[in-house]
Amino acid sequence: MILIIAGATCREALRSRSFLGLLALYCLGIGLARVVGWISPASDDVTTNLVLSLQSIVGVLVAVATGTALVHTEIKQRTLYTVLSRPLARWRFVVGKYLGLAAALVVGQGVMLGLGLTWLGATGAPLHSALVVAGLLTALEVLVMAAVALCWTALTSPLLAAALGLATYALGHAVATLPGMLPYLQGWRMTVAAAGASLIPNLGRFAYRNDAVHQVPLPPAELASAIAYGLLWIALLVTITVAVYRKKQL
Amino acid sequence: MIARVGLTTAILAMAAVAVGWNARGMLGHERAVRAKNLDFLPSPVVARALSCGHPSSASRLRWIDAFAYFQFQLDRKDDTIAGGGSGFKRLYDMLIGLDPRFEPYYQHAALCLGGVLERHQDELGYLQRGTLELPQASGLWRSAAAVLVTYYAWDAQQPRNLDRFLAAWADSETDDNAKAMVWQWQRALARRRLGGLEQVPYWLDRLPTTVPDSPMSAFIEGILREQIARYAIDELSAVLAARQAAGEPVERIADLLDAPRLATRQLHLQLGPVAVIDGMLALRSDPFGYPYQLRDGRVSSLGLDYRDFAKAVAGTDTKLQSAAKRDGGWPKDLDGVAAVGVLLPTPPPEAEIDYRGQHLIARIPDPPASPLTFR
Repeated sequence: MILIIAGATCREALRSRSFLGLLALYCLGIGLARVVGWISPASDDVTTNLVLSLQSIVGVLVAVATGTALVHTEIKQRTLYTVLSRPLARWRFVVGKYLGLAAALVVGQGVMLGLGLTWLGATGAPLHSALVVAGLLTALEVLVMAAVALCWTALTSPLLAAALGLATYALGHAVATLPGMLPYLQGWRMTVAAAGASLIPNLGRFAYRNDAVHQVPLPPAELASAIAYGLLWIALLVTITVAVYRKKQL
Repeated sequence: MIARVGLTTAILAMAAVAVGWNARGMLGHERAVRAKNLDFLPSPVVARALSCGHPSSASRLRWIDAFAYFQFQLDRKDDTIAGGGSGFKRLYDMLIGLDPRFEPYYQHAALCLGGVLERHQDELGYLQRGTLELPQASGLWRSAAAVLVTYYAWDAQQPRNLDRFLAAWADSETDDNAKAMVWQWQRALARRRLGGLEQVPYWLDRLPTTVPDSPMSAFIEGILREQIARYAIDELSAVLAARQAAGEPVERIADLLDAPRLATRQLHLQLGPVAVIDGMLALRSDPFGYPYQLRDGRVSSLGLDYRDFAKAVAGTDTKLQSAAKRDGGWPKDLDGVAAVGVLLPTPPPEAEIDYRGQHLIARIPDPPASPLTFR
């Protein structure tokens, strides 16, 4: 049953206007990235940076836009009641929904990575395996953000969930820079800041794209650690979402 | 049906107007200098936090956005005007903090702070920071060595320290060819003693670190041409003075092709003003492609005069923009420019000042010969 829900969700997400629109935005963006590259004295580096950044930014926008609308659309169109009237545990519904969304996002990320690398290759920028690894870690970052969006939707309204999702993205990257800022704090303030930051997924673990441009190799242990970290947060957030929906009056 | 066609036509027409309007604003836009304060830039740590996981992209975009300031800096040679009280150091510190592995940031910082503003201590600081962060970046080592030799005379005053520095450079190179290049550089150093052209080797070392046809490349080539032109003026003026002291007539520039006196000057064979063509002495064009002239009893380089004139006009234009902002309007013509208290520079022969699009523009004739190139 989970796979049926996942399949339906994936198809629905892939057909959604926001998904296709943001994909088109990505294509426009990578085209413009080349223009920005022409302005810069180091054109290839700049274009590669921007293409990798766009994959993350557009991917997160897709994840938040689609993730927050996922259950809300079901309630609005009253299709949720048809599903829940069946002998189906709510956790199966939530997990199915997330897996469907994740599958759609993986397809989107794969398309973006393929298009991005093809475009970089076609415009003469150097291609190397680090870019692929950076793209895969960005995809994992997007999957974490999808789980964040799903979790916020369970707790608040879709609009607020989208705003909170994007705020989490910004905070998640700010958290990565916190170790450099903590020495400016002292005593209990440092403890409070560190404790607060620990509640937010550290998205800096997936930002290998900044090093990939310079072909700095990523040690396999760090790659494995980043993947495990991402999967842990996804499991945690989806579980929280399940717990909320179990008690929620729909 | 008619309504649909009408609606479509209206949309297409409005879209065409909107696109044309946008394109007109973009394509017809003249390059203008911005004088915005850079003090709002965050510290490197805060900038990294604000970049939302995209520090490399953010730094590249910020760098590109800052090019207008660099142009302003090149024109005015004062980074505290557009760069805020702390100058461009804050900008470079932020850019390097966001992406410490991007070599052009160090090169650009060194070039702007040392090459343009002559703050060689800062220049050396950025280059050495770069060699620590990117030990395999030969260009950074080479630039740092050039600064140590040209401005700190380490080859003469601290040869042991220079040897240690070059040894560290050679150690950081990963292949034998690159290591050999370090010692070749040192050997070439000994051959580059040029009286009156002391800074030329430094600038020739800096030139390969810039992108061809970029503003920085043009700036360095401009400096090289200026130094070579000034060297030629000094040498020809010395011949002129010697002939005048001996009571020999000098009516034309060609009269300075005085073989015995030129021989005493020991002119640089490639960069000097005189060449031997078909066994005869001949004057080269100046490095800008214009002829050397004898004007008002003095040797002058027309190209250098044109370059100085263009810079003076650019400076006057900046004053005009300030005056226009102060008075709330621009003059209608050149007479009006003088009327608002902006003093116009005197044009050299065949040059003139044009006033168009609220900007003063130097109109200079094309050079009869190709300018000297260095790449």
